[in-house]
Amino acid sequence: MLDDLLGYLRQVAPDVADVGILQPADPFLETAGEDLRRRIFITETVNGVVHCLRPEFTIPICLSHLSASTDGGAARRYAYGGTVFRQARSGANEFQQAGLEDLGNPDRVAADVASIGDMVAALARVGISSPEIVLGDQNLFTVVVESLQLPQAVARRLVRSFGNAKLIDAQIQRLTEKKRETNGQGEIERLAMAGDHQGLVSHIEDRMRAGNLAPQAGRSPQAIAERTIDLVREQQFLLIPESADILRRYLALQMPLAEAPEALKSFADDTGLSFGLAGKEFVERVEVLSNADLDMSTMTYKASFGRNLEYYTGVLFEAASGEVAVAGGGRYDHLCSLLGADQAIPAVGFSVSLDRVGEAR
Amino acid sequence: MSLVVAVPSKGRLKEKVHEIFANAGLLIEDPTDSRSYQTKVQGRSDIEIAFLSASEIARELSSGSVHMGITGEDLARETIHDTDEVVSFELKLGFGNADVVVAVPDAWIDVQTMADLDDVAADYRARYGRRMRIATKYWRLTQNWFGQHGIGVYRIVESLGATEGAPAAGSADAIVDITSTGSTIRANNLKVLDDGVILKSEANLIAAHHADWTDQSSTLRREIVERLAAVV
Repeated sequence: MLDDLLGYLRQVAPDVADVGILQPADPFLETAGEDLRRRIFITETVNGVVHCLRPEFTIPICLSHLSASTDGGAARRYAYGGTVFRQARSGANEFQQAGLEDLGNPDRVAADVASIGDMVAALARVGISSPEIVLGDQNLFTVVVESLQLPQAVARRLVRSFGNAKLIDAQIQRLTEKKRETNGQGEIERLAMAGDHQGLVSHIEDRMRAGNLAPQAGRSPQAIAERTIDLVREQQFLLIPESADILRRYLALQMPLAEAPEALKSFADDTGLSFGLAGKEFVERVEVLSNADLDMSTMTYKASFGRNLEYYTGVLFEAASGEVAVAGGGRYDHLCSLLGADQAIPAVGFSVSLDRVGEAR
Repeated sequence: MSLVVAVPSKGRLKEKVHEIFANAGLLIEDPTDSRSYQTKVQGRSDIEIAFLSASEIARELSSGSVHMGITGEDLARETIHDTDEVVSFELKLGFGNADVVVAVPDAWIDVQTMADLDDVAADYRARYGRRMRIATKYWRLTQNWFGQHGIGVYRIVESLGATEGAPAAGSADAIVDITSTGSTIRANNLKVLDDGVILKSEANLIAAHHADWTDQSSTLRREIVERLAAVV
C-alpha cells in the first residue's frame, strides 16, 4: 500500500527531500515543545547530541527545503512516505505515513486546494473513495477575536487555545465573571494601576540585582513591567455578554462548506464584524474548491476545528472514513520561520495514516 | 520464601527507618559482613532487608524485584511510569517531608500562578528567540504537571544539583525542585507559584505489584504495614 501511494504522490509532488530515520531531536522539541518528548523515542550519541526516531516528516522536509533553497525559496512540492515512530500507551509504536508538503508557493488558495485535492486522490488510491472532510480556518477565528478589542493577553490566550473547545469555553466563562477587587495597596499594585512603566522597571531591576539575575539573560525588566500593567487592565476587564455571545455563536457554526461563505456573511452582517482579508481568502478557497473536480457534498465547515500548535496559520482539514480519521493537513506558514528561515515561507501539506486506512477499509 | 524489603542504605532516611522498624518490634540487624547489602530482621528468617539507594529502591519496586520498599513519594512518582498501576503507597511514614514545587525569580512580579507561567512561556520564542527553560531533575513530574496546565512550549534543562541556582547562573529561567522549608528557594530570590506545589512528598512504605506475591508474603506484607502503622 505504501509503495503504491508513494508512487502516486511522486507524480504530483516530484521534489525529493532526504529524510533519515534518525533525526536531531532539537527541531521537534523547539517547535512542538517539551511535551512531545514523552511521545517520541529519544537517543543520545556518545558526545551528548540528542537524536530521535523520526516522529513525522514535515519538520525534516522543511529543514531540508531551507538548506537546499539557494534560489531564494522557489516553490517545491515534496512527496514522502515511510515509518514514523511514536510512543503509544499500548499497542504499536511504529506507524506508516505518506503525504505531501507544498513549500514556497505564494498563491495560497491554489496551493490549499491542490493539497486537499491531492489528499482526496491519494485516499482514493488506497481504497477510501468518499471520505468525509472537515475544514476549519485559524485566521477566521483570529479575526473574530481581534474584532472584540480584548486586552492583548486575553486575545492571545484565546487564539492560542483554538482547537481546544474545553479550554476556550473555560476562558470565555472566566472573562464574563467579575474578578476580585484589587485594593491598590503595595508598591507594585500602586505602580501598575498608575501605569508607571519606568517605576515598575526600576523596582524589577532592584529585585533582579538582589537575585543576581542578569537583565539580558532571560525576561527583560521592560517585558515584566509591561505585562504587570496589562494584568491590571485585564483584571478590570469584563467581557460583555454580547461579545461572549459572538465568540460562542461563531465557534458553534457548522454547515456544508458550500454554504459557509453565505453563512459567514450573514454572521458578519448580524454581528457587525468584518472578516476582512481572511474572509476574502476563505471565500476564494471555497470557490476554487467547487470548480475543482471535487465532491463538495462531502465537505463540512466547522468553525471550531483547529489544532493548537502555534505554527498553523490558515486552513486546517481532516478526512475521515466512517469514524476513523485517515488523513489530515493544513497550512503552516509559521513553521519555517520557527525553524530559522529569515523570511516567511508559505507552506501547506497533508499526511495519510496508512494504519488508520487499514482500520477504516 | 521470604519477603524482601528495600530500605535506604545511608543518611538520615536510613536512621529513621531503623528507628521506626525497631519501635515496631522489627529490629534490623547489622549485616554480618560490612560490605554486604543484605541483612535480616532479628529473629525473623522470613523478612529479608536489602540496603539500596533511594532512587534504586524506586527502580526495584517498579520491576518488582523487591516486594516492598521505603523511599520518597517524589522519587517513586518520578522513576516509575504509571506509578499507581505499578506500586501502591501503603503508609506515609511522617519523615523525609519535602515539596516538589515550581519556582520563578522573585523579580517576575507578574507571575503568581501556572496560568501566568503559560502566558509567559507562550511569549518566549517571539521575544527572546528561544523557549523558556526549566531546570530540574524531575523530568516526569514536570512534564506531567506542565501538561496538566496546558503548557507545552518550554524546554527542560537537566540539573543534578544546586537547581535553585540555575536562574542566577543563567542556565534556566525557572525551576522545579524539592524544598522542605522553602528557605533555599527564598535565599536564591525565587518564589513558589500559588498553585505551584506539584507534590507534597514524604517517605512512604510502598508495595510492588509486580513482585512475586504468595499467600505467605501477602500475610507478611499486612503484618509489616500494621506494625509500622502502629508506631508512625
